[in-house]
Amino acid sequence: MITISIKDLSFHYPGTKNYILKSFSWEREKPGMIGLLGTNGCGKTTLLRLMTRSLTPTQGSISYKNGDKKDFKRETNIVYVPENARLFLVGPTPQKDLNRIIKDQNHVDVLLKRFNFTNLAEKKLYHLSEGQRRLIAIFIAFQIQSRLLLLDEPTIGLDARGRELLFHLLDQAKHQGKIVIVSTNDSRVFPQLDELIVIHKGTLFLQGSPREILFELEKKTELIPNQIVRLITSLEEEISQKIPHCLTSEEFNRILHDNRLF
Amino acid sequence: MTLLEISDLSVRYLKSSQWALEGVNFLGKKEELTIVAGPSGCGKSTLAQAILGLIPAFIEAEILGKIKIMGKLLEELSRKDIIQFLGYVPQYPADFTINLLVEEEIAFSLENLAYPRNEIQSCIVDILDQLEISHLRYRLITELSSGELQRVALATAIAPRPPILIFDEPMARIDPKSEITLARILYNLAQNGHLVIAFEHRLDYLLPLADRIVILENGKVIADGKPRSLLDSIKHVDLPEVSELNWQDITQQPLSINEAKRHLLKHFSEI
Repeated sequence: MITISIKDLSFHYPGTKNYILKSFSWEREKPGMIGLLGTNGCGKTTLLRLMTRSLTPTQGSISYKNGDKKDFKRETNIVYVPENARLFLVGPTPQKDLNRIIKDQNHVDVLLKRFNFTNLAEKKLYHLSEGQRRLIAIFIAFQIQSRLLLLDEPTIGLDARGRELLFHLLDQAKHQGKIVIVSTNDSRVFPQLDELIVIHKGTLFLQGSPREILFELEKKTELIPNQIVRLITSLEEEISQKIPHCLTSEEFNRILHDNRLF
Repeated sequence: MTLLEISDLSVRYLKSSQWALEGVNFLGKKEELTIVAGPSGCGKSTLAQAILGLIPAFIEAEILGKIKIMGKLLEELSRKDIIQFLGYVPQYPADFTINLLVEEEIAFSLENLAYPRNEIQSCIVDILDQLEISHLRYRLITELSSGELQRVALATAIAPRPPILIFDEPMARIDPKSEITLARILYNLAQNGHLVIAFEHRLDYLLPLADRIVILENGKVIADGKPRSLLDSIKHVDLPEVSELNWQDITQQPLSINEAKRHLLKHFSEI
């Protein structure tokens, strides 16, 4: 089990006085999927890069604890997939990248087959589309035995199937005891997460489960939730009556079919 | 008026046995907001780059078929023509920036087209205002977040007002509220006479405004028409969340939140 604690973190890039993050504090002990939300330029990517220690805090600290053990080697325990997923892959093919992580070829073959990647595995990385490359990068990132996984905008270029796979991998990672932090602007990811953190003007503005936060988001911040949440909120306003709160279209369909909308 | 005409376009990358695009036909008219959608790797970016001539100029490939822009064959157009006729935002705008400041970046293409100085200045003000990013004008390009840069790249492409605008995933990296604004901006551009082609996955707010959607699969066009008539084919690509709702007695699926709300209220008031 890993614990992350961010204490009073402030950061500005060298040469500027413009603070990107100000007195940011947050802690997480339980495994789970955490979303970083915020308007463009609010400091999501900067926070992820501070967590990898590729940037150094101007003030405050980010510390990790690995259960009772004192040592936490970030090189082996933190995996970061940047927004430009090309930077994550080495190549020349997805297969070779996977082989670097998993030595057992049979295991690699099984994985490729199970996730329908067999036809992509032997292709050169530059023959893949951006979306395919991102999907492969994310898939490989999840195979690494890490404790903390940081994903920057993982859904760019992903189609419905790719997004399904991402959700599946997120779920699996949670059961393996990992903490996954996803910086995203894709409102469709919000309902899949265990905890949402809303960053506003460099500080931690809202924090909690999607069910609490998403229904408050539009009122309190400059952000908006996914369409289903917006639909429910606007229906409630129109008829001045509470209706069951849900987050995804599948959940809403179930409510509709049971005809228990009001 | 037809601005873009693609006939029987096939593209095969060097050393690849498969065709990335196969027999694509497309007529793009003035005042049209078209979405090109399809699963990852279906040939969206290839099509965008072929229309611009980046394939085969930068990326070697075998090309069959014809692309006509403003009635002229692409290979007969000069570089200057291409810049004047086409605006383009690639998937990774960060790879294509050349200047230090945001305003310089927007001015760059205008300067190269020899716009007078005062016109450039007013153009910068207008376009930043239109995209609601006036606060970014004097910022350093390298300091921008990816979402901010995305919008600067859109401004740069739109500034010279080319008749055809091609955007590769314009909604990527954009926060959800700006997504709604941006969808509206693309719609207005089309209304003002541009042909706007957006290669996009995030359809939640763009699809209700689009005039047309083209769906690619394995390099072939499998559907082409009005968004509402093609909801079934889009299912496998990506539908707006509210279009995934279904309830008895209503056959027509909603495209926007407002439509969904109307349908729901009507349905439940009848029970």
